[in-house]
Amino acid sequence: MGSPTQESGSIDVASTVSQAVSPRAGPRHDSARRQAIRRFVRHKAALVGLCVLVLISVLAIAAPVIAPHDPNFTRVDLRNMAPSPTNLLGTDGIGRDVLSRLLYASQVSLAVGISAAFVATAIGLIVGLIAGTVGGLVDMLAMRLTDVVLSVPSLIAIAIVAGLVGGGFWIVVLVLGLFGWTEAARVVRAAVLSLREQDFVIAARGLGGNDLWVIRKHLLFHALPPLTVTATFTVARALLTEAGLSFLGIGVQPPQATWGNMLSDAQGLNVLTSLPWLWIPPGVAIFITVVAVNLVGDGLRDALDPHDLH
Amino acid sequence: MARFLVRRLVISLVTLVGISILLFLLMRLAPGDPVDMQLQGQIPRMSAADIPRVRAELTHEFGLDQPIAIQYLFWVRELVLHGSMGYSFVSSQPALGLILGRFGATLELMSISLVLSLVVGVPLGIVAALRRNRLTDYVVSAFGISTAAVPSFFLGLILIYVFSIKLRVLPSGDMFTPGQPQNVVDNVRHLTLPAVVLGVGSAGPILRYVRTSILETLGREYLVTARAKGLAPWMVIVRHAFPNALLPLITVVGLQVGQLLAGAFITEQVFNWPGMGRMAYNAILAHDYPVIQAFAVVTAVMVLLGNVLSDLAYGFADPRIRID
Repeated sequence: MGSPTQESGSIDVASTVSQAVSPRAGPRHDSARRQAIRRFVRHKAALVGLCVLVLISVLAIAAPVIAPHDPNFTRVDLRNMAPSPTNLLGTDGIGRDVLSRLLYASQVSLAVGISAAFVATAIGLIVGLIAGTVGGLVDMLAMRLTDVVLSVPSLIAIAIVAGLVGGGFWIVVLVLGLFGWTEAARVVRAAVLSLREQDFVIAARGLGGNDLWVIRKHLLFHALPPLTVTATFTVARALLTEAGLSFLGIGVQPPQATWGNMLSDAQGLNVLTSLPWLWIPPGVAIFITVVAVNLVGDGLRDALDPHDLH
Repeated sequence: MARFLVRRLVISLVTLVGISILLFLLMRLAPGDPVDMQLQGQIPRMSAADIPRVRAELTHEFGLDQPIAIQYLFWVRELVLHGSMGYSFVSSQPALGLILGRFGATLELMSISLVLSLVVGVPLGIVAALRRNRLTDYVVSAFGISTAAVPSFFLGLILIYVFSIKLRVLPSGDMFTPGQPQNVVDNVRHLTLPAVVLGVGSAGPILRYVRTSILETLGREYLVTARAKGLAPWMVIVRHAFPNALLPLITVVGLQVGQLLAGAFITEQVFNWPGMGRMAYNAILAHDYPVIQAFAVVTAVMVLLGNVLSDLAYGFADPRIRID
């Protein structure tokens, strides 16, 4: 489905960086941060998104407490029951409570999305930092590598690898990370390149700071705002990709429920026609979560990059 | 121009070699033996003593007894000398032929979806920009955000539920009605739902891009000049704002090739559309390496071609861009 990051191209990065290195931002970064927070709070849609995300996270974490039933407890005599006071969202084909499974599924889906974004961002950060600071042949190789990874759409590459290796939580997280780092790498590299020539970085180097020290002290800090935005959109993409993989049966495997594999049962015509409580709730859950994450991402971009036209 | 083209094609070729090595390696390092997958159905019909021999024969036939590097070089040699990407482990048919045989169905789905997404996305983006921060803008932007967040397979299920099951106006899958003479009308009826699902996915990015691009253009000084020399407001927008704002759309369309391929991969499963994505999915389940490899290479060629063509088209369309 549509990439949630279609607008965070290199232009955004460049302007974010130029904002970050403006003379005001350096010594008074505390007040710049406060300004950013103020801009984020003014972005009403982003605030709504954040509230929804917090609510979903609380529901996911509290699943063991608030779930009315054991998500894996099967009651064959109570299978395919329509929603009722005891089973608010009905039961599935082997009599498990759909609401309880939905709550536990949100734990797994959110964990996959966040962990995968973390892995992808970490890889991107390392590749981007190395490419940007070392430069030369290493930089060229790193950029060719991103071209290679980008030449096959990530969903397809991920489906091939996860499908052959066999699904499972950690495999899905690793594969999502392995094919999802290019954007982060480009963002970090662009930040590093534009900063390397800045006077204060040259000065820091001149004062005897070695490259590692300069990276830790300055480059990393200034690459952080655009990287945060990218990481947020990566979470949204990872959520959608995990759902797609699990829907195809090559993602996180049952009985561990995720929103995607709860939906994959709906491929049967019978479920689709007469058991809508089995497939509508997980689909709506994915939709609401991804919208919320994208809104937060939009808000972060506007907050961290006031030059942008939104 | 020629130098640019050669340079881009060489880089694309290097990228292709890279992705073919990467996937070749990943596939063969993944656990799960394709020979086992082939044997599974046969074992009940074989005597126990035969199994190790048959397994060894198959492993040799698939070339899996060679070191991975040799296997890859052999694959390259066959490709360069005979244009072959090996034979399917399952059907023994040429892998590239199998994928290209399904290419037409996928291309039909992708191109109609792209047209749909442009027809929907461009006008909506223009309207949203011209009515900035009014109700229309908010509604259109909400639509854009929704399309980026709804999983394609979920949208597909909803459409099947509404149009195929409840209203009974459109078929829920396949490319033609089985058992009936194939004709265009029947094909279009089958194409409608999958094309809408896939098109919606690209409409969002296009819409957002057009909106932003028009807003940027509207602030330019040459538009003030055009107004100042007495042009009507709509003339200014149609003659001066649109061409400048919409030209870069060519690049966006080129970049949508990857999105559409990924979207088609899932949409084809939902609607049982007989494209190469569906064939590749079955090949993945069967660990049919040559077919998966052929699919990945064809996919990469399309993505890279999309990139090069959009750069070229942009150069032709915008005389300020001098490619060399």
